[in-house]
Amino acid sequence: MSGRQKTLAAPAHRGRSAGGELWHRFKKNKGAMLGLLILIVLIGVALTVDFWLDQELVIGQNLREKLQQPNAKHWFGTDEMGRDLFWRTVYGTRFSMAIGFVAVIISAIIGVPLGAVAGYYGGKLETLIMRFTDIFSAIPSILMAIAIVSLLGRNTVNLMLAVGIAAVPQFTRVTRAAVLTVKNAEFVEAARALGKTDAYIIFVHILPNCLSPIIVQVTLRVAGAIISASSLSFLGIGIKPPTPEWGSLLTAGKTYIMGHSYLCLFPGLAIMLTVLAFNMVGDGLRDAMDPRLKD
Amino acid sequence: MHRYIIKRVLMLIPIIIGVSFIVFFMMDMAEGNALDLIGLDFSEEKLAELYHQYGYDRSVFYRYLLYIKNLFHGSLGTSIIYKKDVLDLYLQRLPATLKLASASVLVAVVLSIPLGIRAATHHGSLTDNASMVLALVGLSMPNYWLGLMLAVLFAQKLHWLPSSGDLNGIWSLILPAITVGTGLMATMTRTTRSSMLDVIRQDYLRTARAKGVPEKRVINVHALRNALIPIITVVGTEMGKALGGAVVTENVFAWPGVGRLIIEAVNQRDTATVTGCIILTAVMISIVQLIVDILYAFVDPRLRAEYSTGGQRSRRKTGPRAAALGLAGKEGAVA
Amino acid sequence: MIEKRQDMNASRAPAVEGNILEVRDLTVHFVTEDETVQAVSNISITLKKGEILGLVGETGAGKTTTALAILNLVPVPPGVVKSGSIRVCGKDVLNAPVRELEQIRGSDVSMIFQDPMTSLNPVFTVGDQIAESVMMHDKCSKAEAWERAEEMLELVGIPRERAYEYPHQFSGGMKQRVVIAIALSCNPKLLLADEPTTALDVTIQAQVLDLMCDLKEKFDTSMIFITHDLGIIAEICDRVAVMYAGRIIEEGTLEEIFNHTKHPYTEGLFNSLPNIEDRTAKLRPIPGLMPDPTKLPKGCAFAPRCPYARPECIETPQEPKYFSDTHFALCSAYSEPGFRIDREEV
Repeated sequence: MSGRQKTLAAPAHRGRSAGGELWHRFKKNKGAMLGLLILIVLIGVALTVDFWLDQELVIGQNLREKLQQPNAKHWFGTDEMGRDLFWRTVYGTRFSMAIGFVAVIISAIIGVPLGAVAGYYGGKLETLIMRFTDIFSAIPSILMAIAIVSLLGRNTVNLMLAVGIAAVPQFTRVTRAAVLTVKNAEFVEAARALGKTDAYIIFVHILPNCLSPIIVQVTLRVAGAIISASSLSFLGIGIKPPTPEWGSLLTAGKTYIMGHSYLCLFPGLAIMLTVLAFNMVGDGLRDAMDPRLKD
Repeated sequence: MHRYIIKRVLMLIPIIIGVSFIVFFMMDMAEGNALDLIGLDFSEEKLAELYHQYGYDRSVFYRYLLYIKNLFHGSLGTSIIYKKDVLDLYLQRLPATLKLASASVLVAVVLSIPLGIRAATHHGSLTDNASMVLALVGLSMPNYWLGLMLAVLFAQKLHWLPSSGDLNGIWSLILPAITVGTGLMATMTRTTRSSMLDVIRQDYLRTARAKGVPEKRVINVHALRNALIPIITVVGTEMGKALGGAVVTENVFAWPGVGRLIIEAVNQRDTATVTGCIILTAVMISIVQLIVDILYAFVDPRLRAEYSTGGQRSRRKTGPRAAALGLAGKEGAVA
Repeated sequence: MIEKRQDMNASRAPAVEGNILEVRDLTVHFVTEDETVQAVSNISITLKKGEILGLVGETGAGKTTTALAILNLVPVPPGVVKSGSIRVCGKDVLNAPVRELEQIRGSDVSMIFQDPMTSLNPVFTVGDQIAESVMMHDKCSKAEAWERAEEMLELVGIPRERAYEYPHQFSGGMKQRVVIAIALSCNPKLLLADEPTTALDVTIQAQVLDLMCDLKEKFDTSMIFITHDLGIIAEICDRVAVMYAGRIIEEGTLEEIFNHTKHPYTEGLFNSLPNIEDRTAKLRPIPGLMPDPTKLPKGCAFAPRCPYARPECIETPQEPKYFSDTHFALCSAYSEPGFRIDREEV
């Protein structure tokens, strides 16, 4: 039977490059493609919104139209200052995406080298790094982020730092595990025999071969970071209103939630949609990279 | 087995010290402290005296060493704001947190495991696809937002359920438990499904079918028992998260638990309370983790053998269950 | 074509009462999004009580799929039983209701799987795994089932105390004995042994084979013995069926297959065996590989590798050519009078 299954799995798409094969499998996953489409739109909006969106629409107050329910003119309604929630939410894409990506880049910049070093050198250094990781992750990440924000002070950059640092252990673990699987491969031995430096081997030979779990982790963690950041805003230790970041839009709306629940509904939906898109793409990538899990 | 447990309990000590180090320094070095907050109307002398009393006239290292010394005497210090022993404060809030955590984990386990099994056994079916989409949506919702929306719908619009506090017994518990439970359920359903999908392909299930075991028993006994390790892992992680991380939900529903205490303390720069509560939370999470590890031994005889042969396991997340955890780790990473 | 063969087979072998196994024109495909694998095509097998049939062929020839089909355990999807019927002890396996099927499995027919390492459930004791089968079929108490399980362990040469141990505490050979004990625990009338010795060391292989022969003597079980080891076939089988690319291309008694080989593929199999008497003789492996099971030709699938092949071989469907009541080959070369293969009548 096992022989049969092998012949079943293998011959489908001979002669495609690894990347092409990945894309072929990813493409077949409708959810992942939908997620990718949403992400492309969101990233596009985040990058360009400054150029085409009139600032007046975002910050312009109009007290005569305050707290209007969603209607034809104001699709998402207006807030207590009469600002249009739809345009504020669109503009907020910029903040939430930036926070998500920057936070994850921070985690990756710290976590990936730590994990790579731990996995590559092993021994005492590995024990030290992994023990520290264990201790660090014994603190729930939201509490960790809260502590970091209170240490650094409350602003956007520190929020990104806090969310990013709190997620470092995951990257360390994933990278270490991936490095362990590659580090004894023959091409690494060969590089070592050629007298390449350890740093060269790690960055040129090992890490590129560990990319797939790290990329999946990045995608999924951006989703996590967006949620964490908006949670901190909600708890009153993240971005302050009236910055139209989604978490703080929601927090601002909370005051008027009696009778004006749309003020919380739409920013929340925006967060959910974004996170959902990242999760779908992350899942799709993971399944495409490890087809064993799928069928 | 006993030796293994003792060893694990001893391993709590470095964790406690490490956690206290990280949190203490971060809180202590943050701008402003609780004394400045409560001491606004005090005279200079009075303030200086208080500073001296709490060691604020010395270096942060002195205060930390003092803290550790007290820690080993079983004291987590006194809250400057609440004027109470931190341990008492924590224990006072713990029951509410435990209640919420267990209720949501229970709801999640009861609903998600059968759903995950069904999704796996009917792989590719409508049930499978629908439950996976729902799980993904559940994972993608910010907790606090879901809580707010539930409160608006069920408390404000429909007046069915209370939306805050812990005064109406089980009725107060429902909305917070659903809020926390949704995320847990999503993760657990996904883990159960992928773990079962892994097991369903195994040869020994074919052996069971070949000897005439009814399909129901093949799935619910032969397969499930083997799929349990990643599921238990996730239940443990999620229980830990619910114990320490229900901070946001507790704030939405004004739930008088530890999470709310921590936020209040952070806002008032109450270093002792924050540090103490986070240490205790870390300890609780480690205890849950230990229970999970002990459960492994009951589920999997191979791990049982390993524990009793003197714990050759070098580190958590390595060894023979690495494969199982690899799976669970991937799921855990999402939330 | 199917119709035609069916008719022909029906006329040749009317349903004989007392046959333990009757497989008629079985065709199994594996259908995935991209392709269809023709795993088993038009196979017919009959087996009398106490008979051992050897099923020979390369990996991927469809041997295991045939055995799984007899248990109605072909994984669906992607497996599809396209046509055919299977009767075990007169019971229609493919159309049996679930309850009856569960009764058939284990008590009428049971199977020994190829890989003992993965065939046992790691979280239950071996005693439990044997006793479960007994309890399922004999409707007895747990204690009685355990007693039986311990007896079975002793029968396969494992001390009864070890019933309380888990699979990971056993070596590969021991595990295979446990798998055999499970398969035999309810005295099945038909045993499907799927390469039961492939995963084992040579010395253990011999022990397990001896054991199976003993058991067959004792219980008079019919057996289908799947292997690609012709040595084992010679040792224990009464009849042999050679499979290639999902078809039985030659079938006959042990003597007929070994000494009056007719099909070029069977010839190739024998030629690729090392000759112990003449160690200077060169091995003559069959050139080429098994054809892609998704693109089988209409005619003979072996034709591209066959030294005797003529152009029409691959085009025209093959008809069985009977050399005796028990011996046929699926080779159209014999329609030409005087055709012989090199190895014939050694």
